[in-house]
Amino acid sequence: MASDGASDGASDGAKEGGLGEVAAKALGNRSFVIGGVLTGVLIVVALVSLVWTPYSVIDMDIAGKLRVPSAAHWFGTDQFGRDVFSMMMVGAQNSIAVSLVAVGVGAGFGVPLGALAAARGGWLDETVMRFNDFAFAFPAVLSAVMITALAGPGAVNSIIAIGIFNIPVFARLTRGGALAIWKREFVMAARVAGKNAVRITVEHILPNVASILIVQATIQFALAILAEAGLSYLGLGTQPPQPSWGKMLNEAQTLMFLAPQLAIFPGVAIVLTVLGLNLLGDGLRDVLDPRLRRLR
Amino acid sequence: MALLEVEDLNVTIPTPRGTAHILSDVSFALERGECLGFAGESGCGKSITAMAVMGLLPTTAQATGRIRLDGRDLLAMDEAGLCAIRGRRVAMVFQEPMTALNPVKTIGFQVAEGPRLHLKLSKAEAGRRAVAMLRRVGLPPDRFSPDLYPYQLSGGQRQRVMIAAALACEPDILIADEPTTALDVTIQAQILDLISDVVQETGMALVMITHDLGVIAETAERMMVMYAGRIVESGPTAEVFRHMAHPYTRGLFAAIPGGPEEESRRLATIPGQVPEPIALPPGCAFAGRCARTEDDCRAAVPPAEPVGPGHRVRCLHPHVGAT
Amino acid sequence: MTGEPILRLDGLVRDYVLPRRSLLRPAPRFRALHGVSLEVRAGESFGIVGESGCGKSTLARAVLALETPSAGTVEFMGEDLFALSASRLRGMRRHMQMVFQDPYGSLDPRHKVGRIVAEPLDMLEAGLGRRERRRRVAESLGRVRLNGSDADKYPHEFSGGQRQRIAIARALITHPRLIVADEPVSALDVSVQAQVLNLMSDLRRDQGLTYLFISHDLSVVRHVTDRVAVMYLGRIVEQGETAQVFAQPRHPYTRALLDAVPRPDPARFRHRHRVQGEAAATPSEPEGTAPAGGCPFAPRCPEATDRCRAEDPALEPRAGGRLAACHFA
Repeated sequence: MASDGASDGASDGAKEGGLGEVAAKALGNRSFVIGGVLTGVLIVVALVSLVWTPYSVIDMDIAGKLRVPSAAHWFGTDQFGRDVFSMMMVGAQNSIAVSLVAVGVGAGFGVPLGALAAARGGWLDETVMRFNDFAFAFPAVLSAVMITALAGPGAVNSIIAIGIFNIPVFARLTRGGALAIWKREFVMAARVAGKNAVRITVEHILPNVASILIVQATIQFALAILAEAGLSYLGLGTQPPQPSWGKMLNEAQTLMFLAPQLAIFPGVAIVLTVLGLNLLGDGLRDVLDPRLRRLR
Repeated sequence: MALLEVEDLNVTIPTPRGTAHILSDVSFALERGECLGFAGESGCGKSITAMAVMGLLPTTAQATGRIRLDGRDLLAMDEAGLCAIRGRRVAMVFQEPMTALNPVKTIGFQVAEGPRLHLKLSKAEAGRRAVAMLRRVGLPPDRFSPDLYPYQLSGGQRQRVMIAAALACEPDILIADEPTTALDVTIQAQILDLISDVVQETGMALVMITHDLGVIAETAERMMVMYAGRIVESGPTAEVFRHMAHPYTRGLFAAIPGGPEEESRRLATIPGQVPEPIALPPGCAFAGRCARTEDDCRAAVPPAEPVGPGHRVRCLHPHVGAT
Repeated sequence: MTGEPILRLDGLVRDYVLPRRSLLRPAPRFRALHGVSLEVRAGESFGIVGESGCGKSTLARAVLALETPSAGTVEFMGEDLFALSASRLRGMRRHMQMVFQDPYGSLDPRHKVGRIVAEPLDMLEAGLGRRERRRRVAESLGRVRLNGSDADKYPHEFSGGQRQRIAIARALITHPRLIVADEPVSALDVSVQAQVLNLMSDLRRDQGLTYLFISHDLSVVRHVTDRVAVMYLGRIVEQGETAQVFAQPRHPYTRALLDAVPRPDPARFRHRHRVQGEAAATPSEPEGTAPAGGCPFAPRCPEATDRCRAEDPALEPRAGGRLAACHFA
């Protein structure tokens, strides 16, 4: 019995590098590739808009308002005669900034809080989670209105307001996932190995809940873009003349029958971005899971 | 005609890496009132055989052959026909009494469910039958109200509920898939006794699926040993235990601690591992791990040859003589 | 063969506070360990056998100082584990490791085998160089008859038996003196189980290990241990040399346990004398509650008398170095 087939397959796979292997897996994952391309296009457009746009988004041209798409204005012009394509490009910046910061704030505070609650348990867990319930109980947009009303309207405040209401989402998810992992025997093994709760959280708990967090993050990205659109519509988000997809979409409402393209372009952009992020999240989850790799 | 006849049952599942041969040439017959045991290790196909009989194979699986219950081929039957048989003619008890019961329904409701559905009993009649069944399995209503929920019971008590539910429609066949594996040993003994008793009382047939040769020895009159999706040895339990002919059966037996090897403090082991179902060798699937392998073993799958009264073995070089 | 006591448990009690059933009444308590005392000698294999809820896993966690007992002491290599400072305790952990039941759950699926096996080194032998760590991992894998190259694979690439070897390699890497094995083979098929048991026997002989071997499986315990303690509802009810306890059980519970094991022998009479009832008899009785005052096994014991129901028997020495907690042993 000495060999026990232990050397089965010892040769294959062992030499492949970790990173190269992940990359190969990533390129073979359709969700990841499509999501990556869509997200990549968004990022490139936003970056390009920092240095160049076909037209300035501040200049108005009332005479040339509500033009249909043409060679000069690819996506047409809005009711003030501004170039829609340029506004969309700058709006992409806005979307990325909003979603990054909102999710960053949410995950940055929520994940540690959830992990702490799961690791400690007892009254600390209760306190954190009841606070969470409290934050959850408010409609997010209403609370964002409150925060921006207190701190003043503006893109930054609205982003922070959205971010704060991402905290309980991540805290709750992290705690739930972490509690399940804490019960696993490999955590007990880590305790036998003398590791404290912080190290166990970093080395075992978080990597094992990362996949659900990544998927949730992409959903929150999408929700943040939508929330920003709502706040901008209420006049609490991005301030004119800075364009935002949400604001464009809402302004286009009244002109739906006159110039439907004004609603269609930002609408499609939001849909594609949200879709891209979700696909990316799904793909990433699969790519990062070692169990799905190297299927012999 | 036997109650249940399985003939040349083959089950394959296509996978991205190739076709997995889950069951190969499985044939057996089950008489009314007979207790038949299936033994083997995880992945040998014993549970899949039961699933095939219940018509519960995974949707991706492709099955060929015949499974006849009273002469009617279950493989050719539609879902509605199978639904009328499951629970009514063939009932099943699973390994995990934790998950096999619905946590939000009372035990009385769950036992009464079958009679209401299959026998069209009224709610009151089915309820009375449920109480009688629960009493029969050792859960008398004065101590175990039918209004209890599964979480209020221990594992052994839940398994009793499962048995009561399985018996409630007076099926012809009871399939028990590792019914005591999750239970403590004193509780296991009680449950095995209970199963044997009710089988004797009602005259139904029992299919006992287990990895534990001890459980087979205690409950089955006839046994089948499965390996890599094939029945490698079959026969009357006493005969098979007396003259284990297949090297795998002997290996399995010798690996049990507390056997005759006790003195040496070393257990006999079977080297290597079970071949994967997508990469079965052309010959005997056990050849790679067997000490008696010769060239002919690798050439073709050995046929099931008789070696004793009712005793067949798929081995070209079987052990002869007492175990 | 066996020497000085390496592990000594004295009067170990562990209470769990259960969720309150009513705001006004105090929270119910569940006593998982009911004053357990025992000694394990260096180099021996000591078995703890019992059914679920008997406290054997709580005992394992207390021995490894993963759980603080409500009362009593755990003395390991002459040190009271619960009187030690955190850093001294970490120093002691090098000498005691654990092997778990579930070969699928005890290895982090996101770590490679090399990192899993090396994990005890992180805290217990910090400051080893990369090369030295790799060497130790390879050495440990070699001891359980796996290849050094397996360190670069993930757990899911191995079978159940191989995973359990990986778990054993992790336990061996700090060269411990005591290994607590909590149901190490109960999740394995019988042929694989035999391989792992043989490996554990070899390791004990070659490395001079001491085992605290916890299992519900009597055949396994009989095979791998020198001495055994039988537990029932948080107490030791019988203790002695394994061979003797199995050949001539003194406590009715031990007899019931032995009698309940299905033997692979169809010639044996089918229905034997079975112990009836369960440790938790009815839903109204909370789990693990023994009748006040009496012997905890009395409700299920075929030989129980009025005295058994009134007076809890102490674990007392009997002939042949045996201990038994029964008025009639």
